[in-house]
Amino acid sequence: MKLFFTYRLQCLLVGFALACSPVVGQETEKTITIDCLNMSFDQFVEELERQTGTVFFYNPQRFDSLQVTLQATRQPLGSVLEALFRDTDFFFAIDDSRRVFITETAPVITRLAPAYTDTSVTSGETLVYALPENEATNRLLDSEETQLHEIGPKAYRRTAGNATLSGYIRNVKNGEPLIGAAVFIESPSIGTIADALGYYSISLPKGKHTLRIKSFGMRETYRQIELNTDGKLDIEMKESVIALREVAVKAGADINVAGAQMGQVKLSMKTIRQIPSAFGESDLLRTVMTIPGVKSVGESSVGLNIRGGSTDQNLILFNEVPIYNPSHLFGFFSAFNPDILRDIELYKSAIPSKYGGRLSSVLDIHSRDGNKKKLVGSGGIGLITGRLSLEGPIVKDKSSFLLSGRSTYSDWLLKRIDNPTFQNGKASFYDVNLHLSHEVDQKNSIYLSGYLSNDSFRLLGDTLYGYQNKLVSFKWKHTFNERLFGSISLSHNRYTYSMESTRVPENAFELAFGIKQTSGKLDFEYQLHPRHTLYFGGASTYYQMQSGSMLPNREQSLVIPDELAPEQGVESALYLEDKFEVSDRLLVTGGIRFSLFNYLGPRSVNTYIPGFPLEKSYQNGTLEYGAGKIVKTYGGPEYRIAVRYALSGNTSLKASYNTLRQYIHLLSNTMTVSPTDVWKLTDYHLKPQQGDQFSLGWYKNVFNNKLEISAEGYYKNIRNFLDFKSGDSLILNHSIETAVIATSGKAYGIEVMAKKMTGKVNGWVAYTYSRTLLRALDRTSPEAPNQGSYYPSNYDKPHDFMLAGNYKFTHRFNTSLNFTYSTGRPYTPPTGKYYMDGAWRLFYSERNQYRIPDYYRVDVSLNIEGNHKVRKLAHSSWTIAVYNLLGRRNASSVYFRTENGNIKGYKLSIFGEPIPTITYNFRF
Amino acid sequence: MNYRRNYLLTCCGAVAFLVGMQACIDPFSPPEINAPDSFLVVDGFLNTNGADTSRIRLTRTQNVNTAGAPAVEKQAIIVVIPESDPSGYIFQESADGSYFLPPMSFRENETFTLHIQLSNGSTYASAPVPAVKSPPIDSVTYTVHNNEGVQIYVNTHDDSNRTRFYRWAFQETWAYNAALPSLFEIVDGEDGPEVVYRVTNIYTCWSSLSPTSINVSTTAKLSRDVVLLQPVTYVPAASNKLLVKYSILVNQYGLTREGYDYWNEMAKTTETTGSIFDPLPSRITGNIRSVTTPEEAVFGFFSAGESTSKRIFINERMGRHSVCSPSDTILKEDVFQSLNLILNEFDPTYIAETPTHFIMGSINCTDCRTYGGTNIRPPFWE
Repeated sequence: MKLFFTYRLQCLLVGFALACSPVVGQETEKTITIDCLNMSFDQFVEELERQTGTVFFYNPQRFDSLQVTLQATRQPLGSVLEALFRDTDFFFAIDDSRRVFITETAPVITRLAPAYTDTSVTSGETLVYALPENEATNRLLDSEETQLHEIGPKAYRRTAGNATLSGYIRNVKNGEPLIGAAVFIESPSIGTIADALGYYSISLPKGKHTLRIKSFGMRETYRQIELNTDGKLDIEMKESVIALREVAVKAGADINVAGAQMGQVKLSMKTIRQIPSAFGESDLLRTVMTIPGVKSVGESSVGLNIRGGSTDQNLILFNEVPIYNPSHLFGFFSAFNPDILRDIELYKSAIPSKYGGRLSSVLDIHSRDGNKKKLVGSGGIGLITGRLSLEGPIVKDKSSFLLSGRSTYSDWLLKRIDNPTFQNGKASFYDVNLHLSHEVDQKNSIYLSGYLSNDSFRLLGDTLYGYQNKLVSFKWKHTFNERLFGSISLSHNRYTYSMESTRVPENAFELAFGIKQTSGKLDFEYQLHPRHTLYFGGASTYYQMQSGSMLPNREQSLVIPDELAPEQGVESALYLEDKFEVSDRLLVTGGIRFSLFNYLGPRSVNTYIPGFPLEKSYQNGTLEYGAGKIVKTYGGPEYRIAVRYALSGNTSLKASYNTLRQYIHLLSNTMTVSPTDVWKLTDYHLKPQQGDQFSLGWYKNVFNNKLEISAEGYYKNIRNFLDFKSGDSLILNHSIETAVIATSGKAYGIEVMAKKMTGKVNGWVAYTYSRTLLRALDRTSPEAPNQGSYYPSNYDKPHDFMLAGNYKFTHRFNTSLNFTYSTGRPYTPPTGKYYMDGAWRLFYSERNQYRIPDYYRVDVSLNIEGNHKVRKLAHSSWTIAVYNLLGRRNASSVYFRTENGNIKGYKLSIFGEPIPTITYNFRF
Repeated sequence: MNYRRNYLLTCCGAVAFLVGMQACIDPFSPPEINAPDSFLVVDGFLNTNGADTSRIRLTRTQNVNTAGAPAVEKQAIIVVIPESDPSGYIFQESADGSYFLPPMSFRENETFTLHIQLSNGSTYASAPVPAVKSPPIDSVTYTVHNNEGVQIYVNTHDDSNRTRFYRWAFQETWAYNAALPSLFEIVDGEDGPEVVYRVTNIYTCWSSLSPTSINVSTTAKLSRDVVLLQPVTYVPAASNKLLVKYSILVNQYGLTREGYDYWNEMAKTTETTGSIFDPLPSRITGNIRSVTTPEEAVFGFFSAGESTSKRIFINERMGRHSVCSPSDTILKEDVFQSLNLILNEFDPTYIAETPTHFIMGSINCTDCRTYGGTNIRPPFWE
């Protein structure tokens, strides 16, 4: 008789105790006399069954190649089997009914523990107890793991069906939520991921389970649960002391294949630290630039162009509040202190319905919660910047703070240089961040965060430039029940920038711009059904734009105060999204977001003769709107669909289709983001930008999820993107609608990537082919660039190759290497010259018809960690890096000048030499 | 106001400072880029002051790397038509594609249109332009920067607040000396060459330059039409232009708004384009259109008006004299064969009863004309 049992294995203390001494059958009446040589196992069993009258249960496949050679004379069955299976992986057990079970790994327990003979166990079920895999035994000392957690009152007789288990997953050391921790059971395979607050919710069949929990950098843990009704279970995890191997992307290990999201990249701070940076400090935005599909026009600028989108089409959120200028000092540094960041997520194809307002991507940056257990600090000293952060509990285990600051000492250095040009100079920036979190009770948590960044510089010229981001946000998270939770957030942020000159008091001026934004947001997540999770909510943002003012800032100044009327608008949205697990293979996420924009008075709107282009010469009057009056309303639905189909356990296909709307424009006639660019709301004349994107991807994880291979293709349409007309000023332009031209664009590309995140050698290789083309919407306009035909956008770089590699010598030493190659971006070269007014002058080709030389760069860095002793004053590490190791003078820009009557071409390279840096980081 | 140019400097400076790099700009020679077509270029200005000749020159565009003078348009007909006088005035063709109109007086506040017919029959016309009269220059001033150079400014104003848009050009002239003075020269006498006291001045020369950089400014944003301390040029001491005496003539033109936009754009694309924060270049043509084929590009901006000018002299004596040693002392008979010039007679009291010797200096140290200037004193020189 060949039978195998399929009852779920349970791990219990009692089972463990029995495992220590092999189970021996009690019956000894019938003895065995046998002498066999190379007898098949089946024949051997038949002989034993015949002699002893027992029945054997075993998996014949496991024994079909086994031959038995054994001699025994009048031995009890137990002794014979014990001799046979000694030093093998097999166990045997004999029960009272003279049945013999032969198993691998663990013996079958043939007697019920006394506690389980009561009626809570449905009669007729044959209970079988066994141990989990051997490695588990060394964890048994941990009582949380060994204890059986009963969820809900134990019923007399358990009903069938599912129940929902939810709770928080936290770091036991500092109480920080563990975002993205995976919670799952293996059989049947059900799992979920903890959300941004460390909250998870999982629907499981009622009964006993081993819940396994994995999180990046944490020691894997598990909980024995007996799920009777819906209930709560908070889980604390310990840091993996040797976390280095576990790393990065275990959390996302199978997300690549298993998640419905596509084009989503999550970067942990560990990955960010491995990428060598120009000035020694880990830099978030520079790391983002290593992701396929992300490009930047200039090397210094952190203006990102994601999948053919312009720099203003990225929603950069810091703790869920948009940041308008995420950089310091011309873009050499990103404006976020790396020490306080938890992780960043970039969405470039399927954008969840909860996000909106930008066309290309969402870059979601989160700061950490402070340590809830003890006061700790960390910091770093580089060649140009220093940073320090301090965190600790306010009420232990309940609330914490995280305060950090970062600044440059270049201002101090400038003063010390023996050169009057520099002594007049000023280059300073700082950012300050405060994050408070408080857990009111099990169901309520509140968060308050504030951020301030400031830049101010004046070097060779006499003009002082400055800009400032300020924001404050409040978030309250409430759990209604195990299936529904929601959060409300309120925020206010301001971005201001200015320029001032005082060299000639009569001309002294200050030019200033600003954006104020107040938002409220409500988000809910509801687990409607084990296969349906609903996400819904709404958001509203009130914008106040100070579109530009030029004011005299000295008494003698003759500058006429000139100020553009402020602009106001409200952008609102409602969304609903359903994540539907159609089957184990098919996962569909469908969402709709309805967005609405009201452009509000007071406003005076220029009108133009109907049927004529928007030109100053055709302006025929103005329309006046009072305060609070709606000048114009735009709105419409946005669709977000994402489908995942698993071809096999480690291969999947994903497709997504998105439509998006954007109600705010960045007007620029320069190639990169410059402080003089103008942010402009959609208004009476300027329509919202609209885009849609279709993408298709193939993902495969090989070598046990160690290597991820993916290929994604996309096609994107952009409408109403504003390009500048030749030579019109965008600053302080009272009829700005005449200075811009609406264009439509198309972008398409394919991104291929192979990524290995474990092992001594890790990193990724990516290749992207992409194009971005624009053309004027009004193709017959005399001002349409290139006579209305398609022209490459400024950031069109078809080929892009990236290698980010890391080699770990030991846990304390590791080196990183970065290689980047991309096609040179397009430019508009002079194609002819003419002689006028005593000099040769150039004229230019059609827009963007030629390309600057290709770009490539190699960076290396070496990280040296201090020793890993747990108790010492401060943990420290050194980073030594060389940016642009080959010293290639990559052209950021090329240009031509008429000098002394001759035309000369020049290229400007920002990092034209290898730049070595050294940074000291510490933690206490 | 060149916000973006300053920003470029700031940017470059920051990198240079932060990274310790001296330069971040390299020469760049792009592959041959050829425009398939050649377009008409109209360069000129109608002088309405009644005292000066007006000149208009017609040329063609050429490829960036083509050397040599531009091709010129000959046998074209150029007519300027004042609004009040439709018959117009015809320019007279001269050599080299230039066409001239003798000095003429026109009505106040006249508006002009330029018409051109080329020898191949294609015709062109400008937009109507008003004559713009520049107010007088109030002063040309300068400041000395740490003994390193001199910054020159122009100041002007228009009480009627009508000019508002300005362009300046300048011509600089400076005197300089040779390193060694030559007191004798060799002339052809009746009995062959003979040494006489020098008559021709080769010690002090004058050089002139008319830089072609475009300098425009507007007071449109000021409550009064006042231009104060508008930078004209910076003269570094190292150029040695300031060593003896320096003079600058500043010409001031009033512009229409369109003219200002044109020159401003021209300055932006041909002089400042390139910083990553600068505006992208675009094709600037001007106010002249083809009548026969409207989409054809034509380069040039036709304007009319009167300019004003002012000259100042600067005696700051900044810079460094070049150093030269006499090259030789030779016998009188040998001086006629020498390539060097005679500086002075060797003091005969030292060596009595020996034949006359002369101290010689190389021509580069002695003749100021070898540095490119002229030894003819400019008529305006003070």
